Amino acid sequence: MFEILKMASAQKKSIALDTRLGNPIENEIAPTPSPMNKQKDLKMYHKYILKWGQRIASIGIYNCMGHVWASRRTAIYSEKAQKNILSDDGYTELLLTDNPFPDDLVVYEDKDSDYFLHIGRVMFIMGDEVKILSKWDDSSGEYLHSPEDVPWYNKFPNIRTYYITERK
Amino acid sequence: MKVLEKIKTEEFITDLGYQLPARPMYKLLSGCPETLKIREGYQNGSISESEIKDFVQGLLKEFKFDEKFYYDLTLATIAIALEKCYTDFANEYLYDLSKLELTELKIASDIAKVCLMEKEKLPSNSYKYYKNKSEVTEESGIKISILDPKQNIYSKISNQYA
Repeated sequence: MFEILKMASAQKKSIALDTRLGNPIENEIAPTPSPMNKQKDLKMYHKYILKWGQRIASIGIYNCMGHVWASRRTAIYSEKAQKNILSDDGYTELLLTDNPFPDDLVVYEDKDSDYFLHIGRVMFIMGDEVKILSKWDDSSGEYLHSPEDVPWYNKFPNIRTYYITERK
Repeated sequence: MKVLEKIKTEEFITDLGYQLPARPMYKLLSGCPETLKIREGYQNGSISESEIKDFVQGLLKEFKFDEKFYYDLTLATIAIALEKCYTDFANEYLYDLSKLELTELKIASDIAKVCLMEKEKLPSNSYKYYKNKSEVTEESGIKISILDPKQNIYSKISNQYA
C-alpha cells in the first residue's frame, strides 16, 4: 500500500549530537510544516490565546526535546535517547520544596501509564509564578505558558508535572 | 459522514491536538470512537479492504517530501484500528507502515511499530490467526508469527523501543 513511499530512498537528515558522556543522540531534522499543519497550530494558539504567548509561529526542524537539548537544531524522538540524556547529562528531579531556576526543565508525564508527554524550559520565575517555553511538537510554534496551561489536560487528566535540573 | 472521511477532517486532526510521543499518542488514539468504529466496520465487513486502500492512496497523493504530512495521525488511526484484526491485509498495513523511514510521517510509522509490539504481547499459550477475515482460529501451545519470520520485525522493533 505504501509502495510509492517505500521506493523513495529516504535520507534521514540528522546532525552530530552527543550526551555529556559522549554517547550519540539519535535525532532527525523535522520537515517543514505543511500549510494545513500551520493552520492547525494557529487554531491551537487561538484556543489558548489568553494563556499562551507566541515566541515563534509553526516551524519544523525541532520538537520539544530538540528545543531543550539540541538548541533548536534537530528533533529528538526516541524514548531511549531521552533516557540516555537524562542519565548521561546528570539530570535530577527537584524536590517539591526546591524552587526551579531559569533553564531548569519541566517534565510532563501521564501518571496512569508513566509515559513521557512533553518537556519544556523554565524561562523565568516571578514570586510563585513560573513561565515555561514549549515547542509542543515538531510542527508547532513556541509558546510561553504557565506550567498548568498545557493542551492535554482534557485528554490525560492525571498528568504528573515535575522539574529537573543538571545543577549540582 | 463516513468514519474514514471523518478521520481526515481538520476537525478530527485539530481535536487530537499536538502530536505526542508514540506511546501516549497510541493510548490517546486507541480510545477514540473513530478508531473503534473503523475496527468494527472492518471486522463486520462494512468497511472493505479496497475502501481502506483507496482511502489511503487518496491521502498519499498529498504527500510531499520535506513537508510534514498532514494526514500522519489519520494513517496512525487506521493502524490502531487494524491492530486487533488478524488478516493479511491488516498485518501488511502495519508492517509496511512501520518500515517507512520518513520523518514526514514519523508518528504514523512509530505508532505502527507500537501496534506490532502490542500484537506480540499476545499470551504465548494462546494466539489467534486468520486465513481470511471470516475464518478465525484459536489454538494453544504453539505460537505462529503473523508476519514473515525471516523479517524478525518484532525483535527489531522491541530493541528499538527497549
